[in-house]
Amino acid sequence: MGTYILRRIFLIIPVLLGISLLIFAIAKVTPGDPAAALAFPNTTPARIEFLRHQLGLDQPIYVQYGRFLWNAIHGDLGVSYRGSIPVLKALLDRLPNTLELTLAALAITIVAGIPLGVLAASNKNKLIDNTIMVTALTGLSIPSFYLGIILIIVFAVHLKLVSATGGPGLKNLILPAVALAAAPTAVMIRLTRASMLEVVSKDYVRTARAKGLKERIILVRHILRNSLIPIATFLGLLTGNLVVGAVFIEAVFARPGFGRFLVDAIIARDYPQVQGAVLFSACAFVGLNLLIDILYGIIDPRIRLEDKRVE
Amino acid sequence: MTTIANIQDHKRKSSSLLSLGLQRLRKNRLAMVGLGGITFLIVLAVLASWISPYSPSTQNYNDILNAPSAKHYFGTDDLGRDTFSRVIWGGRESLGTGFIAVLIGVIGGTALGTIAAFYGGAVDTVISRVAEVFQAFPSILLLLSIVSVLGPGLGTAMFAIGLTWIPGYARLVRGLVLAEKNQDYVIASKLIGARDGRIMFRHILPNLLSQIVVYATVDLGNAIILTAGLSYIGLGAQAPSAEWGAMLGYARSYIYLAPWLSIFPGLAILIAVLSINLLGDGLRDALDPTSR
Repeated sequence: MGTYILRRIFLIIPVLLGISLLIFAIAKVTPGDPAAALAFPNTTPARIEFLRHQLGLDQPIYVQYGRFLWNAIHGDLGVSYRGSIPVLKALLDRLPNTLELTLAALAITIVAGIPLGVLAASNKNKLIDNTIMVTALTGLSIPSFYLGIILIIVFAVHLKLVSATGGPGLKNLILPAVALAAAPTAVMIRLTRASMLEVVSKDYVRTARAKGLKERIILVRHILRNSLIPIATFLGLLTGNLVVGAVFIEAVFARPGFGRFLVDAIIARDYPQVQGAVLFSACAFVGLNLLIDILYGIIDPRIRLEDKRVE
Repeated sequence: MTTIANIQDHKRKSSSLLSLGLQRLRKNRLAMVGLGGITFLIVLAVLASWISPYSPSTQNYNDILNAPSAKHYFGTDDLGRDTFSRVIWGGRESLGTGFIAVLIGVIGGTALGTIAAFYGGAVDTVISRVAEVFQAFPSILLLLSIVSVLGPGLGTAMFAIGLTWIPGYARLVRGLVLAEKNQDYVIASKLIGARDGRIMFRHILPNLLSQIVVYATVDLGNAIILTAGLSYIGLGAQAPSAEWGAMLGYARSYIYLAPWLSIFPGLAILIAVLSINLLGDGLRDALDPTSR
């Protein structure tokens, strides 16, 4: 078990390096001169040169990359162009807002998606299965921000049940969370159904039935547990995408979250913030997937043992 | 020679798999509904200049923020522009961007994947590692990064979306080509002396086509949603574009006053993507022999 974890961690390092290299390269390729951007307008070229030297921009590229990497590891993601706020602090301030939205959406996805998927699989091809699948397909096809808008129109404008804009508190979380969760729930329903149908045809289920086990026990101990693996993969990928993808919902509901932070930085051409936010979320995403991989190793002993698989 | 006959047989087999699949597809009613829906929207977009009652940019200050009526089927916005016309014209940008984005992803990914699988060795390793790094990002993050470099705009959105899919398709195609590479007909072709490019194009690719088409259809729906989303937050189509997402973004301040400005463009997106997904599901069921 220990070697499995260590091996997984080692494999991550080149990926993390690659990510940092890519982000650094993107920043270098972006048009615009950081020194000129930071300096006051109407300065002399000499002052801009001085600033450039201070920022270390006149060093060879690999030195710049080295400093970038060194600073990043120590938690220094640079300072924003607008207002000189440290980037890490700025984005950590916005993160909780997005996280509560993401967690709420995840909760809805799991609580609504899995049971509905099981229901659909258990009643394959009957009316309830078809209804659920068509609903799921519609949920997949509707843009999350459009659903958010429709929800606002129905619930906030006409029924006046909740307020339309974000503020703290559970009441303001419902509409955004539902809008964000619709598409993932739809995918979860389809995935659960497909996964269950595949497991149900496996031999070990047949054996369990032949042994005379109660159907409920078979369902929980054999079918569900084995269907869980693709579901867990999906959830891992989903979380990473939800944190950034929440940006559209944050725009609809005017929530000051992480996604909005990134988009605002892009529109304002605030490159340290863009770079810092992208680096942070990419690494967080990789770390999250690492955790999930380790979790797999615990759940499914086969994966621990056959690690020489080609991905 | 028997070898040549075998190769011809294989090729005929692959196209008859495709036509068998298409026949099955025609019987799937939901898929046909989807096909009809998206075709309808495409026709509307293409014939925009003939069908649309007004120009999408004509402003009429006498008819500001009108609710839907006989004169303006979908109402008007704050500049007096007819929403119905704008939705029709917007289809060109919304649908067109989606299509081109998918094309970029599929063509780029297929090319890279085929090259990696066919030549193997260092080429394969480099391409695979680079694809892995790109795929370590959540796709929206990568999308936003590319847009931050190139600046907001519909063209950027189109290119960026396509770009984020290239690694995915490259991996898919690489796997498929690797599986095919050791088939007899490929070895036979090489023995006769067919050039590498010819083998790739005429023999391997047609067999992969059905798989790629299924993925591409699903991705098309996502492309349209992503394009609209980027435009909604201001990073895609810019004002005064009638792209559906841009229209939604523009209508944000008028949700209370003029909800029709948001309802109809979004409905267009929903119908387009739903049709494509219905078609895609049908295609997958029809073309995948194992899913019965």
